[in-house]
Amino acid sequence: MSFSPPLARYVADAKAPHRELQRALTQLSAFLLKRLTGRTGGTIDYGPVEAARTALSECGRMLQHIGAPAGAAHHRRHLDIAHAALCRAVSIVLARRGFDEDAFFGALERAERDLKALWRIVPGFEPVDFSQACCAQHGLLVRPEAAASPA
Amino acid sequence: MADYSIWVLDYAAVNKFPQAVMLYGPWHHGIRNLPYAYALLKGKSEVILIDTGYDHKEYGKYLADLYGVTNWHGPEEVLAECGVTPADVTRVLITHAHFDHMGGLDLFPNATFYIQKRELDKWVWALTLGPEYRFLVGAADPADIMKATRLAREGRMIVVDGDAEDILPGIDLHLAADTHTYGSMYVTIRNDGARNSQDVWVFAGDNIYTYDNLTGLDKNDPQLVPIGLAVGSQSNLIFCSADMLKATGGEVKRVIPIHEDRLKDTFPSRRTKADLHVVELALAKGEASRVG
Ligand SMILES: [Zn+2]
Repeated sequence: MSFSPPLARYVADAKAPHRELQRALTQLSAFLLKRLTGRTGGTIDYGPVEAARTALSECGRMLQHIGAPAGAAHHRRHLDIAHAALCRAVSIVLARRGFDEDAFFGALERAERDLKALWRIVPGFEPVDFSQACCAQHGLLVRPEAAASPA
Repeated sequence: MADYSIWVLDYAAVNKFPQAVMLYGPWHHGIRNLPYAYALLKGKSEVILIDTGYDHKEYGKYLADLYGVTNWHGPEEVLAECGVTPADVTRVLITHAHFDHMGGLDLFPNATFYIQKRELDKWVWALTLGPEYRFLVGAADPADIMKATRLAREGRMIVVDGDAEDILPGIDLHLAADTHTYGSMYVTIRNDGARNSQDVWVFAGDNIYTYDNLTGLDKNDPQLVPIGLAVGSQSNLIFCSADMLKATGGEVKRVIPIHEDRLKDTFPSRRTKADLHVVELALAKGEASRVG
């Protein structure tokens, strides 16, 4: 598929914030999973929330500098919604009053939906990268043109 | 008489899989067929799966196009070959967090799932490291964490911390740390229920891909040869293989590599209309054969 130059630029620029959003979603989800499956009475591990917070502020900083050319507005809107939902999830964890698990998970599900929508709108935002997967016919066998040469 | 009926059911395949990934070493020995499969156990009022397969509707076509996965069929169709529906499944034992083993977490609405704590913890840790470390999480799908969390909220995700005996009657779970993955788990079934069982089956996860990992390629001079792809160490894989082999009293064919294309020739089996296979390892009392 070929893009107009502004759209191609958008696709290239949006990949990094997209990756940070995926990472934040995974970390926040892992935070809840650990909390639900850990032994009761153990200390809560806030490491994943910290990691998500870092990813989200990095993402927010990048999004500020990315415009949405014609053809990318829909895509960009999903990125913004996912970002907002994940920021909401972080603030729910950090709220002083008790942890509202339903609201937290609801925010994660919202972000999950928007991130899933992305790759159907513009190719290149696949939710997974199995190019190193053990059980798949390796990507480079299928796509030899993608092979890197040493710098 | 066996306590559990046991079948291996393939649900897809990668037709051109590099042999060097299955078995460390033979770099230029070409390719093999690599079935994707899970195991079904029935007995003691339980319907148990070892691994889930993955859900094609999410990005199956993407996988098929890029990574050569063909002939995918969903659990409804695959389990029907043994008279079981996904809703009948009561337990699922996840050997490791790779997409083809764990990607079907949302396909079994009444099941409780078991996975090693170390597998989840280290996976999440590896995902914090950044994209240049993605080799470490290569075949894991981050979306599966959301699925696992959803299950945990419903009280259906049990995190096992290390070895666990008799998780169900006669079924033991074993942590194989830092092998194929950080917290891989293999499963032993003592199918006569005895502690010192004479009827042991081992489900190896991906700690072996083929029987050749247990024997080497020279049958006259057997040796343990690790798989070609691990985040842990080759030593750990070899000692894990030795442990699994010891559990079956040295009987190679009872250590089941789920991706082994030759299972269908080693045990009674049947080819289905969809060009998949039902491989029958054991039949419990009163259970009719599904391959006859
Ligand atoms: Zn694997």
